[in-house]
Amino acid sequence: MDAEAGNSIQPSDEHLMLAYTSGDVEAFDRLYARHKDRLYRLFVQSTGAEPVARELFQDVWMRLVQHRSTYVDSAAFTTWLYRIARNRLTDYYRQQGKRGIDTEYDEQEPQSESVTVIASPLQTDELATLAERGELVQDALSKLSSSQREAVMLKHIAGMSIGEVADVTGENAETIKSRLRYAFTRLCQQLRVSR
Amino acid sequence: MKPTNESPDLKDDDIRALLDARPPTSSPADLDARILAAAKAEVQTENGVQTRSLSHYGSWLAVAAVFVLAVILVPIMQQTSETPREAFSPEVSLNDAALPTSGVGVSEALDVTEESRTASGDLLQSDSLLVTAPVTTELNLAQEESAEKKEGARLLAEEQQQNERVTVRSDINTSAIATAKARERTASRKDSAASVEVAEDISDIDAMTDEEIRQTFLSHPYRRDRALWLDEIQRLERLEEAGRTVSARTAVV
Repeated sequence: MDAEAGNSIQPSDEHLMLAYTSGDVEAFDRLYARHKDRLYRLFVQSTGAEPVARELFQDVWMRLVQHRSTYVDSAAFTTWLYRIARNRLTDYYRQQGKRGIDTEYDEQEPQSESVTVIASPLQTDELATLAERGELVQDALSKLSSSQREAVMLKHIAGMSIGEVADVTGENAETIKSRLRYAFTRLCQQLRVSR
Repeated sequence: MKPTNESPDLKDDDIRALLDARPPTSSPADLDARILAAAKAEVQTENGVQTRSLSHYGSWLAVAAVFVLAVILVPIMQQTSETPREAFSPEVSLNDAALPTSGVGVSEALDVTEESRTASGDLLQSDSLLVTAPVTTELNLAQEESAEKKEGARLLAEEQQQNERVTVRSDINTSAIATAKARERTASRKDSAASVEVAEDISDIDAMTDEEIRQTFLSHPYRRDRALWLDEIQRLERLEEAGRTVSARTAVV
């Protein structure tokens, strides 16, 4: 997808989606190839379980296929796709009895007792060590609030801009920045504590 | 301890590096194949449904078209089958009526003409015919008129019996037939009256010059028997010429 994105000759996501709506199956193949990995990774990171991620991933694409006629050119395809994904995640959380995507404490400052002042940035070797311990990263993500985790996922897993994340979540850009800031703080705390 | 709002020193790049450093996760190939197949099948199903819908609606459209054509054509065909009867029904009724009515009228006219011709032909010999001819004609007219009335009533009764199940249009036809018959009778009477009038006009033919007789015959509105009158004139001229010849011979003798 990155290679395609860098190529200006490639048709846009919106063009491909409209083509698929008109019955062009190949357009869907290209569209799927562009977005499948990021979306799948988002579900894996969000749910922490690959079987669940498979199910949700498939559901999202099936919803997209079935509701393709509702797509309008005025909306960015990425925003539309990830809104479907977000709704599916919310449904999943509700079915699991988990707290869904909420904002009840996102705009609040992190709890003081759990905050550790980070004196210095992580060094490269530290990052590598943390990366090797993927389960720690996953664990740190799971300890974020759902909305913070969602913001981090959309920003760093799906590769969206702040504005796109705001569109998908229906929030304004400042709110998303705030969520990301606090999410980074908590991630750092968790990771440093886990070290 | 209050959280520091200063930089947590874990930059975006750090987070990104952390997340990207995780083993790359890509969607399973079997899942990809399943989703792509489903997307393709969905489009094909939709196209099939659309095709079926078109054929389905097409068949319904064909049925509707046949129905509309039937609704339009049946009255037209009925009208077409009735039109000759309607168009010619007055004539048919006239022809029907001509047997008892017009026939009588024509024969009457011919009779009257014959009488008139006889009267005019024998005019030089007998004046009584000229007097009796109009009277006879009037009597005949009265008798025939009553016969026509009876015949018309009988025909109307028959037609009413035949048209018991016929709609208002048939009633109109019946009315038209009756009207046509009445007109026919009137025309016949007019013909007869005209013949009588001609006979009356030439009743004093002895006092008329040849030219007056000719003008009387030629100017009379009853032109249908004009040829007969011309024949009569020629016959009178021949008789006159013969009389002159005899007079001349007598004079010579």
